[in-house]
Amino acid sequence: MIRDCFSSTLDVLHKTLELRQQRHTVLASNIANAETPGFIAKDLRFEAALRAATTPPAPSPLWRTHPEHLPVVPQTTIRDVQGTLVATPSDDIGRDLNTVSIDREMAKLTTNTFHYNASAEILSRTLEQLKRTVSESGQ
Amino acid sequence: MDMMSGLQVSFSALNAQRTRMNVVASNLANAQSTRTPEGGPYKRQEVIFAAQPQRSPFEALLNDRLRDGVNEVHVQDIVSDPNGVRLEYEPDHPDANAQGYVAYPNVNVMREMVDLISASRAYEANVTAINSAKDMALRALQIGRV
Repeated sequence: MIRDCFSSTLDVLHKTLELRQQRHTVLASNIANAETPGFIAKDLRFEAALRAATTPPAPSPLWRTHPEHLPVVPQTTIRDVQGTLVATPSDDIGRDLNTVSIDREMAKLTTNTFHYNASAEILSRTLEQLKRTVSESGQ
Repeated sequence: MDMMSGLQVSFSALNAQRTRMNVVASNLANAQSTRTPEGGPYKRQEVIFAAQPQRSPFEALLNDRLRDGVNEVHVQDIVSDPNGVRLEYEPDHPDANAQGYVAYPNVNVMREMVDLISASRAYEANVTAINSAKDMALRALQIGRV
């Protein structure tokens, strides 16, 4: 029952932290290579995949007649969400063919850290709620 | 792919930028050096950065998907600037040639200063990335503290 109440929230938060951490590494790599000739800036995109995994699937006209049958629309579970690596070259490509815009990468890094901290905070509060539910509901 | 690999990437950049600063300092210090062990005036040095995919055998297998996205940076080589020397007319100088010209290194102080500032800004950007990673790690440690 506890799993039913909290598991999807915890799963989403856990996945978000994991993906944001991976994105941080990718952005840090861009910043580290801001002056490497020929380096192409990259980013990790996962928002759309995460949204697709968290929204319930649209009702399908097909029915399953047995619970053991394969699902009609296979939906990726939250745990299986993976980020996709995309090249994000900036418009101002220097003579050394480096496509990293340091301002843009720093902005992304800051936003990413902010989102990570927000998710971590929500996760803390969710756990606090869970604890309160378990320890104080009988009083 | 853990927090440490992000830090590793940033640390590699700190190292590379510090090497670049050392090279710039060497260029500035030797802007007037007319003698070197190899003979002739000092030659301006330049660093070449190269991206290097993170290599750790176990993680490489696990995170094959992200391998192309995460690159450390390292100094591949330090090369001499092939541009010629700067000749100045100083007949009294001990290293002056028969025409009275002294061959000075091809170091442009202005250019070196620009390079120095650029290296120090890049260094700061990577320090910021490290601090972000540290913040994130600290935040993650606080999750369990209910």
